[in-house]
Amino acid sequence: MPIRYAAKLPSQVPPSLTVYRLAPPQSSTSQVAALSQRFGLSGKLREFIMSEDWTSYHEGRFRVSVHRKSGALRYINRDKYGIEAESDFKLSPKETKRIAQEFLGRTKIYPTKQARFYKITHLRSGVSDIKGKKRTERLIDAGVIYRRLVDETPVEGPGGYAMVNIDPEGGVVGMRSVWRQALRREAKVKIIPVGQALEAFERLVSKVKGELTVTTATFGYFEQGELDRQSYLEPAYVFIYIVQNGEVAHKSIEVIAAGQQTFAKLKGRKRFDAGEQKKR
Amino acid sequence: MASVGVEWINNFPAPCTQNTLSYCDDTSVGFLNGMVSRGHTATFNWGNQNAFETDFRDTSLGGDDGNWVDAVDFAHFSSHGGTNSSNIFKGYFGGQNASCTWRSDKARFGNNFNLEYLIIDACNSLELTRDIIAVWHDTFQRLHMIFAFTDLVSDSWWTGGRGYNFGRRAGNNEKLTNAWLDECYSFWADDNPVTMAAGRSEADAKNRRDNERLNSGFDDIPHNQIAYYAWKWRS
Repeated sequence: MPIRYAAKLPSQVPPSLTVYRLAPPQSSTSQVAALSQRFGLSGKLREFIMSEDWTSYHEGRFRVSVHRKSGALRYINRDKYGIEAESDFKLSPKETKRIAQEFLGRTKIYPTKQARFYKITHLRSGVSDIKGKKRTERLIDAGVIYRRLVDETPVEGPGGYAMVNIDPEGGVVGMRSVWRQALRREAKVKIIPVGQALEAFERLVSKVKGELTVTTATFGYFEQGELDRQSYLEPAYVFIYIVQNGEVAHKSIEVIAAGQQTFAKLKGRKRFDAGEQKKR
Repeated sequence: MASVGVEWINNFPAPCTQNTLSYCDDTSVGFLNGMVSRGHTATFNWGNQNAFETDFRDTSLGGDDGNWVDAVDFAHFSSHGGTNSSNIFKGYFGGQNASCTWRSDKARFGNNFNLEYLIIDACNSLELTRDIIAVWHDTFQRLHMIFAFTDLVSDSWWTGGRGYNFGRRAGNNEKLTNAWLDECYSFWADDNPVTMAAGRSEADAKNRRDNERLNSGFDDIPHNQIAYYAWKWRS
C-alpha cells in the first residue's frame, strides 16, 4: 500500500532532549480556590462540586474546574460560554489574538514565553427552514489556541495547549487547557533518527487497506490529554493519517517514542474495552 | 432516568470487509458507562457481529428499530460512516444482518415515541459539505437531536475518551450541545463535532439546540410540525 506524505517530519531533530518529571495535579479544593483568584474571583466561597474526575469551584456565574488526574483546567462564564449572542463575532484575528494574549498575561496561568500562538477556531451556528430557503450561518465565538514550548521544542499531542474563548463583545468567556507543570529534569535522552521513526510508522500501518495519506507529521514533546495521568514529559514523533478505501474513509493516529530511553508508555490500555461478546 | 443503547463495530470480516477500527468500543461503551455512572439505564450493548443493521431500520421499511434503537431514549453508534453525494448517510456493520450498512433514508426515529437523541460517532455523519437537512429530515420523527461529526473523526486511544466524557455530562443533565462540542472537539486531531436540533420555528430550533438537557422537558415534535433545523459546530 503506497503512503503519501502530505506532511513531513522536520528534516533535522535535536540529537538529544531532556526528559522532565511532571508535577502532580493541583486539584485540592484549596488549590482550586487559590487558582480561581487568577481569574479575578475571590476564591473565598465554599461552593465546591467534587466528582470522581474533577474538582470544581463556583463563584457567581463562574466555574473553575481542575481534573484530578491530569490537572486540566476549565474556566467558564456560565451565562456566556457557548451562548449565541445577538451580534455576530466580527473581531479581527489581530484583535482576537490581542485579547487572548492579554488574558494569558494578566492571569499568569502559564509563562507567556512558553506559549506560541497556534490558531483561531470558531464556534459556529447554522439555521435553516426545512426547504433550505432561509438559511443563515454565523460565528458565535473565537477559540484562540496556544501551544506549549519546552526548551524551545514544541509540545505535541492532545495536551500541551490552552484555548481562550472570546465572545463578540471581546470578553473572555472561557478557557481550557492541559498544561502539566514540569517539576525537575529527569534525564537526557538521545533521539532516534527521523528515518527510524518513519520505518516504525510504516510497519504499524502496513496492513491497512486503501490509500493512506499522512496529514500531520511532527516531532516534539508529547503531552497526554485531559483524562490521563502523566508523570514524564518525553519526546515523540506523531503521525495523523487518513485512509480512503473505496467509498469509506477513516482517520487514525500513531505516536512513536523518540527517545532511545523511555520512561512511560505513550499509549495506555483501552479505557472501556468491551471484550468478547456472546453471540446474540 | 434515560434508557441507553449502544452499537459499535471494530471488526469488519467478509462479506462486510472494511479496515479494522480499534476504539469504537471505547467511545460507545464509554458513553454507556458515563450515563450509567449518573444513574441512567443500560438497555443494550451490541458490538461487532452482534450489531445489526435492522436495529436501525424502521419497522415499516422491514427493519426492527422499534425493538432496539427506537426503543431507547439515547442511542450511540460508533463505526465507519460516510454521507454520499445523494445525501444518504451510511453506517457500516461487521456482519450482514440483513445488510452491511444502515442508511439515513431507511431510519425513522421517534415514531415509536422513544428515541430522542442519536449519537453517530462516525466520519462525515453530519457532513456540512452535504445537505444535512436532506440527509436527516425524514429521520426526525419526534427525534430531538443528532450528535455527530463533519469531516473525518479520529479512531485513536488519545481521543477515545470522548464517549465517556459526553456520557458523564449528558447524564449529569448538562446542556447537551455544549457537552458534545466541548468533549468531542480536538484541534490536534482535527475532529469537528456538530449538533443538530429540530424546531417548530427558527427560535424554537435554536433554543432546543442551545438549551436542551436530558431533563429540560422539551416536548416531541411530530414530523409534520418541524419547520426549522438549527445546528452548531466548532472548527
